Formats: sequence, structure tokens, C-alpha cells
Amino acid sequence: MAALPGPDEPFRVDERVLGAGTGPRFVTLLLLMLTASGAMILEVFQVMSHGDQAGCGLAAGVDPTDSSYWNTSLSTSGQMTATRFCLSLWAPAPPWWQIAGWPLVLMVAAGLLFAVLPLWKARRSRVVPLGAVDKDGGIGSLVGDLCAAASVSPRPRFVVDPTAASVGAVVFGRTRRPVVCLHGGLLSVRRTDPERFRAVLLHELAHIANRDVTLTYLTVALWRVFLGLVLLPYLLCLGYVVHGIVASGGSLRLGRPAVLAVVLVVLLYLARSDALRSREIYADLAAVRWGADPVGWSVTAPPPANAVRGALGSFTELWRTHPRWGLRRGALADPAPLFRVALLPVFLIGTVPALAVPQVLMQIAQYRVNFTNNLMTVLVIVPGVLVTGVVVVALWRAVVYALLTGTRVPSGAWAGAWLGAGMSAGLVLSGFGSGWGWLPQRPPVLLVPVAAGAAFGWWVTQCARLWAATARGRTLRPALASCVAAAALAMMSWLTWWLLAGATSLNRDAPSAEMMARAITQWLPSQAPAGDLSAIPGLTVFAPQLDNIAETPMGALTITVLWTVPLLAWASGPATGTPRWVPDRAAYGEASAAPLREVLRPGLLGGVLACVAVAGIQAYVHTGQPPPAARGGLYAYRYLLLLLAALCLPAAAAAAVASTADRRYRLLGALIAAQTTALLGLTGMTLLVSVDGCVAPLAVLSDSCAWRPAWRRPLFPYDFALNNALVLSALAAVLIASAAVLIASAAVLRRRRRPPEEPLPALRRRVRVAVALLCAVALAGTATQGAVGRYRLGFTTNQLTSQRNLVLYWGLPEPHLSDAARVRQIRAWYRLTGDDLINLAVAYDSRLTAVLRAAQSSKDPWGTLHRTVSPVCFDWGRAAWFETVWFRIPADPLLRADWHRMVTWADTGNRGCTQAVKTRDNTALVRALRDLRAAARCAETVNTGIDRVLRAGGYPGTSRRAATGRTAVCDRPPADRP
Amino acid sequence: MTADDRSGPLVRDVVRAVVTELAPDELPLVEGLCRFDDATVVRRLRRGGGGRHTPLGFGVGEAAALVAPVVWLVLDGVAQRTAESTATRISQGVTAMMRRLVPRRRPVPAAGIPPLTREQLAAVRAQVLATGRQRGLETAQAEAIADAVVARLVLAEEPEAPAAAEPDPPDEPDDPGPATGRG
Repeated sequence: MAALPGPDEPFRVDERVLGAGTGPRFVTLLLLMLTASGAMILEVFQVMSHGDQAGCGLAAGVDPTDSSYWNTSLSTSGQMTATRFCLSLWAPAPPWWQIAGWPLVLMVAAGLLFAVLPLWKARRSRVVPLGAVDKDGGIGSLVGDLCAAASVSPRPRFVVDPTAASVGAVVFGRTRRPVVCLHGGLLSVRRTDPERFRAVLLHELAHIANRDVTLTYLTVALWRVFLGLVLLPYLLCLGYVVHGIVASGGSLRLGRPAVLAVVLVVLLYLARSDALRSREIYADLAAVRWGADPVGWSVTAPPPANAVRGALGSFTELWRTHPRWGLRRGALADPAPLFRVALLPVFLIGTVPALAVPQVLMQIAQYRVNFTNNLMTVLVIVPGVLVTGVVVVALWRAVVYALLTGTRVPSGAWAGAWLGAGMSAGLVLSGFGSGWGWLPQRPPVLLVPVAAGAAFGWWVTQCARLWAATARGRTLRPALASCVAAAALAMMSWLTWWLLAGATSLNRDAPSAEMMARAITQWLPSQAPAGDLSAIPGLTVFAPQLDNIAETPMGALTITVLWTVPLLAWASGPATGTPRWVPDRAAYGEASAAPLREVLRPGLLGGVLACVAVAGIQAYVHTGQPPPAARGGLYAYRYLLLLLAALCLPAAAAAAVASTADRRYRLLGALIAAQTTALLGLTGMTLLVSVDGCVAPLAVLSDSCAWRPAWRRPLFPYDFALNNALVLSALAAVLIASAAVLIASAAVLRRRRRPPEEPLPALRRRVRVAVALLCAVALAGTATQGAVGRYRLGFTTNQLTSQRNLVLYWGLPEPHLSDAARVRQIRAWYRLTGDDLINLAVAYDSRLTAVLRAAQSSKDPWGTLHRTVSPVCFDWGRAAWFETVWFRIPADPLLRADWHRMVTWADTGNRGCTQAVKTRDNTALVRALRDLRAAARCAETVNTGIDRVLRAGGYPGTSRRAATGRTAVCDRPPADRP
Repeated sequence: MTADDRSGPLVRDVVRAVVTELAPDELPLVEGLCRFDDATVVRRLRRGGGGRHTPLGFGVGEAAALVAPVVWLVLDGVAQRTAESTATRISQGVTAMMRRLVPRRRPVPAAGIPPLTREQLAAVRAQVLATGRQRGLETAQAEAIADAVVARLVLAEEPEAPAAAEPDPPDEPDDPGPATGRG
């Protein structure tokens, strides 16, 4: 606030009242760039390696016409070894160092370019030193004065581009060694238009003082390197692929990789331009602060001729590095644009995690990295923190500006919804959870991030308002940091849940109730099932979602942080007088928040109600208590659901009451009250379940009295109850607060505002201590639970486990394939490795026949056979693994059954043969050899079947001639014919 | 084309003189331009230096209506046209391109303007007016510049050679100007 306005001038908010969040924006840009590079370069490497991933998918039974996400997952279920074998053979991953090294190459190249750029821009054939053209030293001294006014020291190097007619200048180099290049046009107006000369120079000096130079030119260098080292190879590769398709007479189809690349490039450019644009206004404001005359910004720009041209102008501005002149001039008088939440950048940044995380997963999945819950948690850290940093700073700035200017504080929900929409768009682009179709199987699933984003934005805005009113320091930064930390945790938890479970499990048909019931019975076993679990109404809808919430270990901790952070602010009470962070002359008219008791009282009363409800549920369930052996299954599950209801309904009631306490903080009030209720209720539940059996009328799971900690009880999944109780009551709070806003806006519900009474200092201290204690207990409890849950889950939730669960819930698919797809699948199975396996089996049989003939012609047939048969049996033992190393035969159940019989008999025959040779048991040996012959015949049958399918599909038949007659019957031969 | 094979003022000297007379504020520009060779100056003036969308610039603003580029471009055109035939210009273009790629050891001498006929002077004047209008100069200013340029050229010729009585016939019927100074 160096330029003090006169008493009549309107108050202008200092744009530096809060950080601008430039650092996180540039880092996000970097992340986006690396993501785009990774995606595109992986594509290039894959094309170069001529891999046949599609062939492996077909051989595994993936239906090429079914674009759903679950098609691939279910088809490869239980065939992971074969999938990996196939990929390693036909579509080997590029060496890991290529994938890992490419970002490194980009960074190094960008670093080199960054170092070279200033030298190139300041080369002797382009610019001349200022001293060389300033014979009388007039310009030098003018420039020196301006440097002194801007306190830019040491003085940067000044050069002149005499051929540039524009009345401008540019700064380049790096922040520590900047070079200011004055254009010829600027020099020519230094006397005729001194205001412009000063404005331009101070603007450039402001870029130096604002430390924009290094960041900007790093971005420029990265962008150029991206164009040269990523986009160019990608386009060449795309051209090669397109040429291949056209040359082979195929038809071109717009694939996701091509669209993704285009969108990523556009995203990158827009994000880059946006980040650069905002820096210009900061530089303008700094220049004016140092004494530049706003007249210097009066550049004549023709107004748009009509609305269409105006809209076109707004669109083209998105791509420019400078805002339009009207906006810049307006910002000099009122820096509102720097405090407004721009929706497009928020949308763009929303796409970052949804693009980056699946990209990284796709890249590391090729190196057999197990896809664990812990891995996902690690992967979402960087994008989660960056996105949160950018969005929270933007929302806080909007709130602070509204508070300082006395205008309406935005709700933040709209901006948050745009963030969520960005995530949905990113998800559609990355294809995560939607197979290779463009839209997810259930498109409404894309609205979930929008709703979550809206809630997120709403929470951040209310927190900002509350903290701004209670912060006592000279700056808001610590409060902002605490909000960013809490919001980042929430964002990471959300991303973990969304990418692990939400995007995929909401996006499919519900499992059948029977399957669900089977899964629950396995989880809560019961020796004598009482009642039918599948009869629970809506089981298939809510049960999978409750499971998913329970398996997000940090969920409880996140929810706790989301209500303790605002509670601490609320408890600290309003700052006395105008807060110290408020700049001079600002009219800070924000009234203090409603007394805390109006929020805590409903919470505490709700807690008591929840405890009573839990006891009531115990008493109710006790009335139908079955014998101990039958206390799993439906009984235990119903008990859990009733407990959840006993916790969440009082929480919802408390939220409803608390949401009317202060209309500015409806969400925070509802959240604090609901969570206090849930926490107290959970404490009561934990106690009652731990001493279950001690009070006979309340006994549910045990009949005897002992201390059995609730978190270690069999048949009582404590994590499930805790996570779901906290998450569901938080969801209830959000819904109720939204409803309260809607009702209040319809003027039905308007609470009379009493002037807040000032509590006694001693009482306030006691309340603060109590609140701090409550928060500490809640945080410690949920953090411990989260850590234990993470430890436990991190190692178990991998791809194999989740595939097992899939099969458990949904069963193996028997898709209705078209004839063409059927032929393609069988051909892929045969062509990629199946032919070798059939030929191997037939070769084993030939060797067996040779051994048998040799034995027949020898003098001691049995002795010869016992001596020579072992290696052949050993070979047949290998055939027993054919079904493991290679896929089950797709699309044809009969052929699949024959192949399975081949494997079974090969295994039985091999074992029997080895045993018989060892014990010299002739009868057993004959039996074993008969099994092996049967296995060979099955291999022949499969070959014949495949030959038939291939010929019917218009392909040449199998490489091995199809057998006919008796040899092509996959059956065990009669006992009399070895 | 070198100054050795022609008598007459150098382009840069005429530019400096005109700018000193009409737009002294542009003198630092001319000083700067004079540090480059003619080819570089003309190439960069034609392209209009200073990237339009350069990050950290002041923004896409107005271009100043400058005198020096107008005078330099017109006079260089005159010097070029009067010097070489089209064929040699092409070969010279290739040479210039090569020179840009390969740094030269010897500085190229500055371009000079040979004595011009009355018609040629009139053509120069018209050209200055056209280029000035094209580059945003007001008509009055453009006329003042045109007059100053012609005056400078005439003055420069006087001590050595009075204006030629008859212009040489042009090489080509559509050649824009007579190829004086070629023999």
C-alpha cells in the first residue's frame, strides 16, 4: 500500500493481502506436462515395439465389441499368469529406463534450453547494449531512477532492440540475472509519452521484483522441449500408424490416445497462458504502486464490432499470455480480477489428478507392480496437494476480497463444482474405469465428482470466512496453511476412494443379491445361517458402497480433520476489533460467528441420544438372539446396519439444529454437530460392544461377561462401523446444510439473530480447553485407526484379490459373442501360443508311441518300458501346466472342456506313470499310459475343433492337419485298448 | 554490391541525417541500427522485431510510427534496385542466406546510393509516401520525410555530379527504375 489513496478515492484492496498461489500453479503445469509427455511417449514406445496387446486380450476372452471396463477385468480374472506371459511374449513393456528416463531427458533438455535462451535472445545480431545507443546518458539515468523507485537491485542489464517498432519492452533471462530489452518504439516515445515509458519500464521491473522471470522462462523452455521431444515424435508415430492402417486398407477410427494427446496439448497451452496472464496484472499493480501513471495503460484497442466478435475475442484471450487492455486498466483501479475465482483454470486443474494418476498407473502396471491401496495413496499425494493448493488459495482470495470490500461472499460451491467437472472430464479422457468406450457404463457416475467438488468448495469458503474473522496475526498465511493442509488430506482421501472404488464400482451393474449375500456370509461367517441375507431390501445398492467406504482407511481421519479445523477456529472466538491482517482503511464489517454452544449443544445432546439409541438397538437385537453358532451372517450384518442407523440418525438431527445457528456457516455448524454426535455415539458403542454379555438384556454377540475390545471382536467389523458412521453422518450433514440453505432462501426458515453475548474470559478458556481436548481425542483415535487400517489394507488389496472379489460378486462372464468375435478370440488363442502347446502335446504323444513300439520289439518289454518311459512321462508333466501358462480357450465351452481334460489327464497320467515306474507296477503303468494317450487325443480334438472354427471364419486352418475318426475323440479309451 | 563500386551517400548516413532533422528522438534507434549490417537491418525491419506474444513483455500494444524504418527501407530498396539485375539478386539472396548461417569474417560494407535522375527522385518520394502511410505515419509527416529524403539525396549528389540529363533506358520494360550507375 505504498501509493496511499486520497480520502475521496475508493478503497483499493492490496493484491498482496494473500499469496497468489503462483508456485503451485507452475508446479501443476509441470506435472501436467510430465503427464502428457509420459502418456504420449509411452504410446510412441509401444508403437515402436509393435506389441500385440489386443491379441493377448482376445486370447484371454476379452470381447472386442464390449467397451465396458469390467469386460477386460472379468475376462482376465484368474488368468493373470497367462496374461503376463502373453504380454511378455507379444507386447513386452519398453525397458523401464526408457519410461523413467524420458521425463529426465525432458528436464535436462529444458534446463539446457533455459540456460541458452537468454544468450540467444541477447545475441549481438539482435540487440545492442543500451550504453551503445545512449550517447548522452539520458536514457541510462532515467532507467536508473526507475530501478531505484522499484527498489530493483542490482540494476538489471538493459539492451535495445532497435528494429522493434512496438512501444514496449520485455524482460528475459532469470530472476537473479535479468535482461530488460527495450523496443525501438519505446525509446522513440520517451519524451513525447513519458507516462507510457515509465509504465512499461516499471512493469518490466515489477516482473523482476515479483520473481516471475525464472518461472516464466522455465515454462517456456519446458513447452518448447515438449513440442520438440514429445509432440513431434508423437505426431510422426501417429502418421506412421495412420499410414499403416490406410496402406492395409483398414478404416481409421478416432482413438482415445489421439484425442487424449490433442486435449493434453490444448490443456497445457491454456494452463500455461493462464498462469502467465495473471502475472501481468500483478506486475501492472506493482508498477502503479511504484508511481507509474495509469495513463500509461491507455492503449487503444478497437472495441468488438458485435457480440460474436466479442465472444471470439474472449475465446482468443484464453490463448494469450496477456490479458486484454480493458481488463488491465480496470484492474489498476480495482484488482478484483486477481481475487475472482476463474472457472476455466479451476476446471483445467481438476483434470490433472484424473489424468496423471491413471497415466502413472498405466506406465508402472507394465512392470508387474502390484496395484495396492498404499500405492494409490502415494500416487495421489502430489496431484492432491497441488490441486488443493491452487483451488484453496483462489477461494480464500475471493472470500478475503469480499470481506474487505463488503460485497457478497461467494459460496464456493460453483467453483468446486467446476473442479469436480474437471475431474469427470479427466476421467472420461483417461478412460479410467470405462474400458475403451468413451463414456462410463453408467454416465451419471460423472456427476459424483461434481457434487463432491461443490461440497469441497463450500467447505473451503466457509472455513476461509471463519478463519478470516478469528485470525489474530498480521497475516492470514498460517490460517490459510491449516486450511490447505486439511483440504489436501480431504482431497487425497477423495481421490483414493474415487480412483480405487468410486469410478469403478459405481460404474457397473449391481451384483445380484445372492452373490452379495454369499460375500457377506464369507465375511461374517455363520455355521447355522438364520434368515436370508439377500432379502434385505436394497442390499445390492448400499452394501458395496459401505464396503468401499470401510476400505478407505484414512476416511475417518479426513472427516475428523474437516470438522476439527473449523471447530478450533470457532472456539478461538472473534479477534478483538478489526483483525490485524486487515489493511488500513478497509471497512471490515464482518460480524462474529454465533456462539459455539449453539453448535456444540445439539452435538452433545445428539451424542447422548446416539448412546441411548445404541443401547436400544442392543436391547432390540437381543430379543432375537440366536444360538452362538448362528450369530454371523444376517444376524451380525443386521446388527451392524442398525448400529449405523442409531449413530447417523441422531447425527442428522443434530446437524439440522446446528445448521440454523449461523446462516453463514451452515455447513460447518452441521458438520461439527453431526460429527460430535457420531463421535460420542461411537464411544458409547465401543464401550457397549466391548462389554457385550455383561448386561444380559443388552447381550448381542456374547453370553458371558468379559472385556473384549470392540476392535478385536470376531463378528464385529469395528472399522466398518467407525468409517461408515463418520462418513455417512458427514454426508448427512452436507445434505442437511444444503437443504437448510434452500429452505432459508425460500424464506421459510429464518432464525432471529441475537447479538452474541460475550462469555466470561475464564469460561471461554475452559471451553477452549474442552474443545481442544475433544479435537485431540477425535484426531488421535481416527489417526490410529487409519494407520492400522492402512497397514492392514496396503498389502492385501492388489489386483489378484480384487479380481477374486469380482468373481465372487459377479461370477465369470459368458458373454454373448458375435460369430466374428468368437473366431477372432479362438484364432488369437491359437495363433499366439496355443498352436505350440497343441503341437507339444502331440509331440509328447509321438515320443510315447515310439517308446511303446521300442518296448514291444525288445525281448524284455516291461523292463525296457520301465527304463525308457520316465522322460516321456516327465514331458507330459509339463502339459499339466498348459492351462496355467496359457489362457483357457475362449468363446467355445466345448473346446475349453476338451483342453481342460487334456490337462487333467496329462497330470494324472504323469503322476501315475512316475509312481508306477517307481513301484514297477505294470497295471498302474498301463492305466497311466492310457491317460496320457487320452490327453493326446484331447489335444487332437482341440486342434480339429479350432481348425473347423478357423476355416468357417475364412482363415486357413490349423498348421497341424485336423485329425479325423477315433483319434479326434476326446474321451478316455476303453480299458482293453492301451 | 559494395560501396567500393559506387559513389554516393551511404543509406545509413542519409537515414541519420533525415532522422536528426525530423525525429531526433529516434537517434538512439538509428545508432542501434547502424551497429548491424544493411542486410540484417532490412530483414529485421521488414519482419518487425519484438515478438507480439512474448511472455513478460508489456503486451500487444501500439506500434510507434517511426521515421527511421521508413527511410531505411525505401533507400535500401533504391540502392538494391539500382545495383543488380534480377538474376544476380537471386544469387545474392542465396549468398545472404548462407552468410546468415555461416558467420562471416569480414564485415560487409554498407550500401550506398548512386546519383539518381529526377524521375528516380520522384519515384523515391512516392515510395516514401507510400511506405510511410503503410507504416502508420500521417500524410503531412510522410511528406516532410519524403521531402527531406529527396533533399538529402540531391545535396549529396551536387558536389560530384550534377543530375544526369537523360536517364539510361531501363533494362526491362517493367523494371521499376533505371539501372543507373551500372557502367
